[in-house]
This record gives sequence, C-alpha cells and structure tokens, in this order.
Amino acid sequence: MTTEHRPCARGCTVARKHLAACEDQETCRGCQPRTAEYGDLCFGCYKRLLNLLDVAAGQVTLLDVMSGLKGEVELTSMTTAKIRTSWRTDSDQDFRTLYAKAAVAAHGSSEPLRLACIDAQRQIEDRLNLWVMNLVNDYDMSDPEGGPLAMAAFLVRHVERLVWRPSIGDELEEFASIMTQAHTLAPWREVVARLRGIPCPECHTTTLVMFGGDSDVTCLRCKATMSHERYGVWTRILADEHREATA
Amino acid sequence: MILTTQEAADELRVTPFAIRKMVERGELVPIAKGARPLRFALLAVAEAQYRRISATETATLDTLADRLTCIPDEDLSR
Repeated sequence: MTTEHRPCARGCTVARKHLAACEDQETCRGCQPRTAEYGDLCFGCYKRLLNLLDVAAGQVTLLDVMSGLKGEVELTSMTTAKIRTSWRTDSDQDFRTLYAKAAVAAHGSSEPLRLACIDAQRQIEDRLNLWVMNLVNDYDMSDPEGGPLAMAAFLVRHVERLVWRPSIGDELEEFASIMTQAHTLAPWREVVARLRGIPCPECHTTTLVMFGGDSDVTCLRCKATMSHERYGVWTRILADEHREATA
Repeated sequence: MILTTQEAADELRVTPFAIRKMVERGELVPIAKGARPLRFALLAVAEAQYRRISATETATLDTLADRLTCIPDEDLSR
C-alpha cells in the first residue's frame, strides 16, 4: 500500500525540515511542504479557514456599523478650558477662558474610510456568495438563506466539501487578505492566551498561544497548529523528560 | 505582542542587562531603535531565542517531537 503525499494548497512548509534539494539549510527556515490533511489544506490552514468563516459575519456587522456613521453621529467641537494664570487669579476668582474652535462636523474626511468599509463588506459577501454558489451547484444542494451569517454557517457546515475545491489555496489566500483589510478598517481584538515556557514541537521557540474561542494551540512563529489533546501529551512528554534529566 | 526588557529577559532566560547588550550587538532588534524604554515584538524575541537554542537541545526536542508525531489522533483522547 502506498500513501500519497499531498502538499498544502497554500504552500505551507514545516519549520526546520528541508527537501533533499535544499541548497542552504543554514538560512532556510524549512522548505518541506506541509501535508494536506483536510482536502487540499493542512491542519493550520483548515483551522484558519474555519476561523475566518466564523468571524466573517461579525466582521461584516462591524463594517456595517463603521460605514453607517453618516448622518447618525454628530461630532462635537473640542473644547479646552484653561485657567489663565496671572496676578489677577491669585484670589478665589475662577477666571476661565474657553479656547473653543468651531469644528465643522463634516464627514468629508471620513468618506474614503466609509467607502472602503462598504467595499470590504461587499468583498466578504461576494466571496461567501461565490463559495455558496459553487457548493450548491457542484453538490446539488438547496440554497441557504441570504445574509453573511447564514452563508458563513452554511459554509462551516459543508467545510469538508469546500476544502476539496481545486483552487481553495488561492481562494483562501484572497479571503484572508480581504479579512485582513476589513479588520484594519473595523478592528476588534481577539483574546490570546500565551502558553509560556512550552517549546513548539516544530520550531522549538516558546511562542505557543491559544486564541480566544479556539481549543487548538498555535505557534505564532511557524504557524504550526495542534489540538489541545496533542498539546496535553506534548507537555506530559516534556515533563517526563525534565524529570528524567533532573533525576 | 509587545514585551518589555524584563519580559524579553524572562523569555530568553537572561538578565535585562544581557538584553541591552544583545540590542547593542544587533542580536535583538527593538521595535523603535533608539527609543527608550526598549520594547520588543514577541516574534523578534522568538527569533533571538531560536538562534540561541543549542544543538543538544534541538536534538532532544526533535526526539521528543518525533515521539509526539508517532501518536495517532485516535489515541490522544484516551
């Protein structure tokens, strides 16, 4: 029996593992392609796709809020109150001068930002729409309800089919780039818990983290991802080794 | 993720003085060169850490990582 090695469609590589043809193993950080485990994606990319689909609807909502500012929020002028210090104010007299400048509450400067938000929102919806359309056509499924939330939920449900698309690598790359742009326009912060002192099994640096709402452990440096069960075993192996070394 | 000098020192298991020396020697690049206090990106510290891992440590960790890879997914949940 032969096992076929399929590389990850996004071109991920394993840290510190080199191909036989690698010429400069001293400076190369690893060139051996990572094996595709889920369709044409490696475990890390698969997790990333799931994560992006999970947050896509929320990101669209945020962009919606950002772009819907026009006419709803009134900007107030900045008012700075200063106490003039002079011989006249050495009593209890409270002598204030207001340096208030009439700031025009115009949306002119934020218009490009608003348009960029709308663009990003449309791009996310278009990408989700395209994936949904392809899946529905390819597998003869019924259409999900409209809206990014329903579409993202549909794609998460059928992610096992999505990862087998021939161009999933490029599509994921494009989707990730759109989401990065959207995140820049409407930022939000994900809680990250660092797992201090535990080296990554692949690159050996202590940059393992656990992102909020995710049970998997990811290395920030080499992007290797492992399940929390595997991480548990890894910590046990390290603890055993440490015990043996100190005994 | 941004680290202070003390936090970077803890990561690399050296003293803050050694961190400042590493910056002087160009082994560790702070976020804003010349700015005080020094601040470091976690990935920059990780790069420095990677360069400091000895061959013995690498060999040991590789052996342990191989042991981890050999365990199939089905056995992990037990």
